[in-house]
Amino acid sequence: MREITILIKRDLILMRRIYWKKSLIFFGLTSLFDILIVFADKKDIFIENIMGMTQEHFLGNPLLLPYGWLFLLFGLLVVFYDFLSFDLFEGTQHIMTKVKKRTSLWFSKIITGGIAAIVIGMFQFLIHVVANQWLHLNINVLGKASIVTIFSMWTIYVCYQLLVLYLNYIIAFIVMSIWVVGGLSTNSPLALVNSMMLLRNSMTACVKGCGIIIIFCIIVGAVSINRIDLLEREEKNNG
Amino acid sequence: MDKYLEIKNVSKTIKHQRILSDICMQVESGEIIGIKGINGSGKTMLLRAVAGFIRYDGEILLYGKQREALENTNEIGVLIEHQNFLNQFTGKENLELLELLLPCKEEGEIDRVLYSVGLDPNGKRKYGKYSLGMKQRIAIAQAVMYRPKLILLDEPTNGLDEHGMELLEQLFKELKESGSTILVTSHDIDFLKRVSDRCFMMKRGELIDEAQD
Repeated sequence: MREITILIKRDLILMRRIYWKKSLIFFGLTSLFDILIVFADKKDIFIENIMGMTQEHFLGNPLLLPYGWLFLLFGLLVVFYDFLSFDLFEGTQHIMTKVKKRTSLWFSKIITGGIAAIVIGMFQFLIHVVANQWLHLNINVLGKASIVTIFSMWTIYVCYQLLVLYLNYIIAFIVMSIWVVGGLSTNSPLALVNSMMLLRNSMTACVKGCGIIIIFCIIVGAVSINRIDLLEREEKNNG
Repeated sequence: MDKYLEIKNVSKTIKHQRILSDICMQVESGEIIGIKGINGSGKTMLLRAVAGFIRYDGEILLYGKQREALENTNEIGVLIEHQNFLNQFTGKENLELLELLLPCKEEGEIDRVLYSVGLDPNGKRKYGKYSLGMKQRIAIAQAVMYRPKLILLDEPTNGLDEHGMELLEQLFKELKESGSTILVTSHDIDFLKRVSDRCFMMKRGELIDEAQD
């Protein structure tokens, strides 16, 4: 446990020193876009951006994507795409000689991702509360939307990091994109997105669904990280 | 002298390609072992196996124990080819970040080790702006900063100038005196002859003892 705490402390230093600029730009622009929508008096689009859209609405408008909502969901991936792979496959494996258990590194990355999701979710909530001055939505709905967003972002981040143990991060990103966007039109329980839209599901169902996926990925990742070879990406590809 | 490192019948296959083939080696405590060989002969992979980065068939023992059974994580220092650090941090900050994981035994150890490889501990230049030689020096510094019992150095002479080579040889002497065991690979055969107690040759994944060859 002590080792995990130290690794989280290290990760938080990395976040503060390296990733904050990217986070601020990405999530700042997303928030700015939300506020602009409010001023353009597009209440429906604003609601879609924070809560997703109903399946009927999506199927009735095949070219429509809840882009604001997708941007938010993929935010952690865009900002932290190399968060795990840098320590494992980018020539920085010397860190692993200082870590007694590989699983400690895995758990620390997952927990740090969760902390980042909470910070970003709260930031978004505050922005949405400000925007709500002009929309007068129920504040509880905004709160629920933020909780759903936090769990959704974390779930996608955890799934992505699990894929990164086996795949190049660009391929892992593409796989995640196909999985999430492809799930927009189906009701399959294997599709992530249905449980991540407050307009399609309840907050409890989202937390439960995401919780199951997160726990599954954490267990599989903890087993996998002990079985993989820490080779640099080119070596992994070339054999 | 104690038998420190034992490599018993270690083999590694990646995508049906035999990278390491039945490697056996015994290394005494405080010994410096030089390994030469052409690119792709398996030198780096052998060091990765000893460091515990890859899964392999066979057995690698340190003081008769599996690596996982070691109580201290500061027993091994590693420099593997294409070493990387965080571009946004200075060399010293990068080492301090490592020290967060595993504190040094003595205060001022980082400054001392940076001096020993010819880097200025108070330098403000970020790692991303380092020259190839400076990157190599910081990589050597992180490998030796805990004065580990086993040091694995893969091509440590890459990018080093004459002064850097002199400092490296001096460092080898100091580490040997302090009882560290070193496995070093290089294409520089003269360098290996100067610093090693024994020399091995890697050829298509097989380890050949030069003395017996």
